[in-house]
Amino acid sequence: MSRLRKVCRFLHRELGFLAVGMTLVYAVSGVAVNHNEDWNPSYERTVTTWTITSPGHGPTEEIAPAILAQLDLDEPVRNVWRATPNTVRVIVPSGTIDVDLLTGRVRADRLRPRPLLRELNFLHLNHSKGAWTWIADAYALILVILALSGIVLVKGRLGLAGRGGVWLAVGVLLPVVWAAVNLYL
Amino acid sequence: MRLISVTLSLASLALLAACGGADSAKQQPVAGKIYGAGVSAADTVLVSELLANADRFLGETVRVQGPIVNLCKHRGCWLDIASDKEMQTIQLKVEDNEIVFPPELVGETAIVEGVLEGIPLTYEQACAYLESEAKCQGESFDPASVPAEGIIFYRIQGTGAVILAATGN
Repeated sequence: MSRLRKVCRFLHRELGFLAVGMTLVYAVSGVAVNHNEDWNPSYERTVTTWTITSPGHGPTEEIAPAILAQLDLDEPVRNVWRATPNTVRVIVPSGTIDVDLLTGRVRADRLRPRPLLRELNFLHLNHSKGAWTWIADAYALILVILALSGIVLVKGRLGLAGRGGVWLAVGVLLPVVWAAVNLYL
Repeated sequence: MRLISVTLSLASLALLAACGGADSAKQQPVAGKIYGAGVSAADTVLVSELLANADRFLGETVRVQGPIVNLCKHRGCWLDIASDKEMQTIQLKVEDNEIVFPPELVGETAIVEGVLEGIPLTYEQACAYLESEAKCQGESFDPASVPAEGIIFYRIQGTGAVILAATGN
């Protein structure tokens, strides 16, 4: 037992240090994406409206310069697209700006990446695929080793046979009971 | 213990090697950033031709090219490619989380590929679908824009895309 404990302590210590960075990535992003029904965890969205002088209904290439001059954008224009007979969409790197040709009403819908969160979510949700899939798998394996090796680290009344065992049972029962109640009852 | 230490070191090296190979912007014959399986079909079809002859292309793998004028801001699971004709688009839908298009792509030119499908929607179904999409996008929806007889919603069930350089920069 003491040899097993020695090996577990070694694994727990070494892999514990190795896992710190990844754990922070997954923990912080986990909270962020857990609430994605309430907010966009990676981007901050701003919608602004204002009015310009109606540019008329001419062909898009004719009215586009007048529209762009009035919008006075501080970022490059990627595209100008006629979405409907009465709507021109100006596309810029930060989003889209729709101009109502009848009323001159402008609606800018812009997304700005949330600093750090966008990168953490990109990693957590594995948007890049490829080798990151294997890295994330390796991290998951490390978590398993950390969890199992941690069980036997402490002896005595604070360990598995005492308070540690109680916490272990609570930690195992919580997801089991939740899943059972919500799936089968 | 030394054996475990060596094993851990080797595992770390393997991971680092894997990191070196990580690159989502793989290169293939069409230069650009690749999403999903990229594109492999030989010919590009004009969106206007595709929509005008949708029955002929249904169930076929098609490849179209054009600027991205709209995309799913919430999950990045679809994007709209502008047609060569004004006021006309075709949607590329991909499996959620299989391919994720970031919102920064709007305005970029894309070559996309997938199977053309036509989904018949009654007036009520079309309204429900378009209203839900508009809500998701934070946009308004006008039921009067939907024909009373319903619509056939044509879209490409996408397998991949290649994003070319921005056109307007």
